[in-house]
Amino acid sequence: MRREGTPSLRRTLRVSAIAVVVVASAATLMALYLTQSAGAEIETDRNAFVDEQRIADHIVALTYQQQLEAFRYLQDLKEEHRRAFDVRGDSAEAEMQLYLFQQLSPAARLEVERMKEAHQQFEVTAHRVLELAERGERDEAQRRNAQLAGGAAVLDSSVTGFLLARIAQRSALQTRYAALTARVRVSLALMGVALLALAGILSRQLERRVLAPLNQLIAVAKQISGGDANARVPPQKYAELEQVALSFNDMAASIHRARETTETQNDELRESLDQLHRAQGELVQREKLSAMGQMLAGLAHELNNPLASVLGIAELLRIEMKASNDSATRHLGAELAEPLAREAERARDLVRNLLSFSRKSSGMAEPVALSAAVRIAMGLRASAFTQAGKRLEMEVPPTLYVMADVQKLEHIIINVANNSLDAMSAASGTVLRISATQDGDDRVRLVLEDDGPGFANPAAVFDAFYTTKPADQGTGLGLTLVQQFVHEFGGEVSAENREGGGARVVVRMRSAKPPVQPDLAPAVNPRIASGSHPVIPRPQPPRTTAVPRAPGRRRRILIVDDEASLREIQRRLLSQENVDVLLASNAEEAQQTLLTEPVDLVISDLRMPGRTDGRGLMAWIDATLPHLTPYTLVVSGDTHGAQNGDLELPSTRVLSKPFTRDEYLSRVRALLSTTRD
Amino acid sequence: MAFGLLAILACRDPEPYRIGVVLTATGNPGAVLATEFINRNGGIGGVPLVLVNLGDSPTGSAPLALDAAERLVADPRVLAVVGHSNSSASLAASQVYNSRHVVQIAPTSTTPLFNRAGPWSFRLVASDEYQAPFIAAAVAAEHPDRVAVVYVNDVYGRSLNSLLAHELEKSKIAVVATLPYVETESANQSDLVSSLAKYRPTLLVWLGRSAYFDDITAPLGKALPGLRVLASDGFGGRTARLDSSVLGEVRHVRLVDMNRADTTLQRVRQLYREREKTEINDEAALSYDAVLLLAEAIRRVGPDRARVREWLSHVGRDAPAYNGITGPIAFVNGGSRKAQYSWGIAHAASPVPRRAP
Repeated sequence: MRREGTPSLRRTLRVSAIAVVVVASAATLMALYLTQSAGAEIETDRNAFVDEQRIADHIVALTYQQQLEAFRYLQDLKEEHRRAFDVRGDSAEAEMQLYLFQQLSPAARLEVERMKEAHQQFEVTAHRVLELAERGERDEAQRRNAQLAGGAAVLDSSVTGFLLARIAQRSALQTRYAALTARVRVSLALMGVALLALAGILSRQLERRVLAPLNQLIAVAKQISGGDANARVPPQKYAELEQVALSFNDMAASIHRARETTETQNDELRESLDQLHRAQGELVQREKLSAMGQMLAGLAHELNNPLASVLGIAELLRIEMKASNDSATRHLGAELAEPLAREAERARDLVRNLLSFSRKSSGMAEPVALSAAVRIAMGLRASAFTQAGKRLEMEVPPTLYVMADVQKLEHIIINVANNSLDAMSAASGTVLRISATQDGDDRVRLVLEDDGPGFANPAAVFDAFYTTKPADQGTGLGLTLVQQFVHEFGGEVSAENREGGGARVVVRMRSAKPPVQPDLAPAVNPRIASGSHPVIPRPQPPRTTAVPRAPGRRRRILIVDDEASLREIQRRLLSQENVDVLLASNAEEAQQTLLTEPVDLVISDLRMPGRTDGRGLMAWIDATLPHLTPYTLVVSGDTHGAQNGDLELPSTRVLSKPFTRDEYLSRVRALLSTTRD
Repeated sequence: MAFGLLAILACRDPEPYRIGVVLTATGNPGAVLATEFINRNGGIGGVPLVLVNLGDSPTGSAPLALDAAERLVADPRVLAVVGHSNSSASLAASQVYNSRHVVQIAPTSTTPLFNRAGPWSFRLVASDEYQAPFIAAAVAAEHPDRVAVVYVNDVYGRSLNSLLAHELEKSKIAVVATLPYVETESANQSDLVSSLAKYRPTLLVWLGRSAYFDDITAPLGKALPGLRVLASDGFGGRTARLDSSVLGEVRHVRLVDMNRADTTLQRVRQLYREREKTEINDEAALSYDAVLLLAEAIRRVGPDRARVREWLSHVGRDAPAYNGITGPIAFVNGGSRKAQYSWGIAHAASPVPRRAP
């Protein structure tokens, strides 16, 4: 924006240029005029002088010719000489009259008049002499001839006088022209000096008013390029330069802002890149964990069968040896079989926990027994705490249920436990205590606190990638995921340092009612699904091939398992139950038995080799012997698959391997109690 | 005091207007009479007119005329000049006046060359181109047996002689002799008379002035008794030594009809006669009119040389002619007046100073 009253540089330069042009033009014109006028005057005078000289030459020539003709006439008295005398005289007179209209000086003009008078006098004198001669008075004429010569001499003198006057006039004129030329030269020199001075002044003004501001501009530009972002061009006098200064300052401000923005964006990009690297690491870690979970799931499944055999055999040994009459045997049972069974149970629990942790999350919040989740998590980290010389304590009432995804809930507890263990291992602290209480009507408050060093910055512990651990030990995402999971449940989480030392993480979650336990009576219309078998609705046709149980006979249980040891263990466990046990090593064999023998309860492994596994067998029973469907018990090392997805069975018809004798028998008894007599 | 000074200045006589006069002794009184007439009637708009009179200097000489002209133009107060008395002098001085931008009114200059004098030069008579036929007609009317022509050998006499020779030739009048003279030629006057006598003319045409004629009147009357003389305008109308008993009638060309019925002219003639004890001549009457004409110009356009010249250039052309005592004045022919010739009879007069050589 142009300020009011700001002079215009363009106008100033234009006025200056016009002034220079006007002065230069005036000086040039004046010089030209002086030169040309002087030249013209000199030329005119020169031409006039040449003309006058020519006239004078003619006059001299004519008067001499006239004299000559006069003398000739005196010699021969021929009339032609007399006429020639008159003609020459008239011509000379006419030539003299030409002087009348020449620009002559007074002196020259006076000489002309004298010359004319002399000529007129000469003519009259000559005329008198010629008259004498004509009258025959030749002697007198000859005597007067000297008088005629005198007149001619006077005439010559007059002509010469005129020429001398003209020469004097010309000299004066030349002197005047010389002076004029000198004045012109001096004037031109002065004009040149004036023009140089004017040019100098204009140059100085140009430098002061244009170049100086431009130098300011350059200096400020250098300052800015040198890093001084606050350098600005000062206000300028002229509108155009003011506009340039304002534009330059705006540009500098824009550059400054752009630089700040770029730096900010660079920081953000750098931070994003770091986050990306860390996320990439975390992703890799999670992929590793995912792969590890899958591996753990497979490993646990494979372990379950031998572990089930070991546990079953150990319990059978313990029971048998305990019932032995031999004290040494009983002692040996107490010394060996019981620890064996106990360790087998511990191994079973560990495998179960691994399986539970490696399960895929459903992503849905549902009522979860908080104590069970805590127990599973603690079970997974118990060994680590023990090895580090730390303790895990739990005080969670079994009545507390929360709305959560059990996997994520376990993840929450394990993450906090890991953090606590790392902190206590690196510094001080001995125990992580996990407790939970009802918080109002609809909230449960889960508290995880240790006596370690506490948080360095409690406000930042939930920030992504915030970590105080060494770079190769933490991703900074653990507690961030904790917060994310809790928010997904509709809860809140906070972190703080305990007053007496140590860290405390408080999780508040929506409380939930315990899920309704299904009746122990067989579910009606259970649905069986399988990844490889289509869902077969339970058929309604009446039984046609099943063999009914004869009245008064003992109940029959068909055990289907491809592991011979497990078939034997189950058979031994049921040996005290007043039932008949039928054994089948695969599904086809079981189907054949069922078609030929009355069976009250089918206990089948889920994974078996052959064309039909446990799932196929369950489907076949559902289709062929639907009345028997409620009296089927699935025993599997991967019960999660039986409950979530593949087989939709109530928990009363599912038993996980490895199992204890009590678990097995209680489940069998429960099912048998519902069978019809 | 200042008021008093202003009053004194206001009461001072105004600076008079000045007109230069370079005339003969017989012509100059005409200008004087005109000036007296103007001043008697309140001057020019209340401003008196003064003549810068160079006296009766030998104005007929061209070199002396130049000197007089230079002296006049050197005075910036001189608004115009009336002069000079003959063609040679007027023509020579005209270049001074034209180069210095001063109006010149020549009362009696008749040479044709004066038409080329310049825009600042006017004359109150016609060119000799008209006088030559007038004289030739008079010569023819005389039926002379032998005609001789004497002319003054200057620009006036040479041109008039040339024109007259042409006219006489047209009229088939033979001229037995054509003789020049110069007014400074006192030593050879007898030669001129002797030459004339040899040719025995019965009619002499005198193309010159009266002064030199006075010198040869007596020998001429003795050598050629009864000789009739016709003189040009330069003769002036009177001669000091005219002896009609010796010489025949002497007639001369008059540029002004002095007998015209103009009361002013007659009153001026009377005044002139009373003051100069002789009859007024052409130069005096024309000078009278020249002064009146310049006074009228100054009265009309103010005391400015250029404006006076401009006003004069319109007189008789796109402005009315000026009525002087010599008749209407109209510069219709290159600054010259329309011809109005008549013949006068020369008479004896009291001696007048001889023009200086």
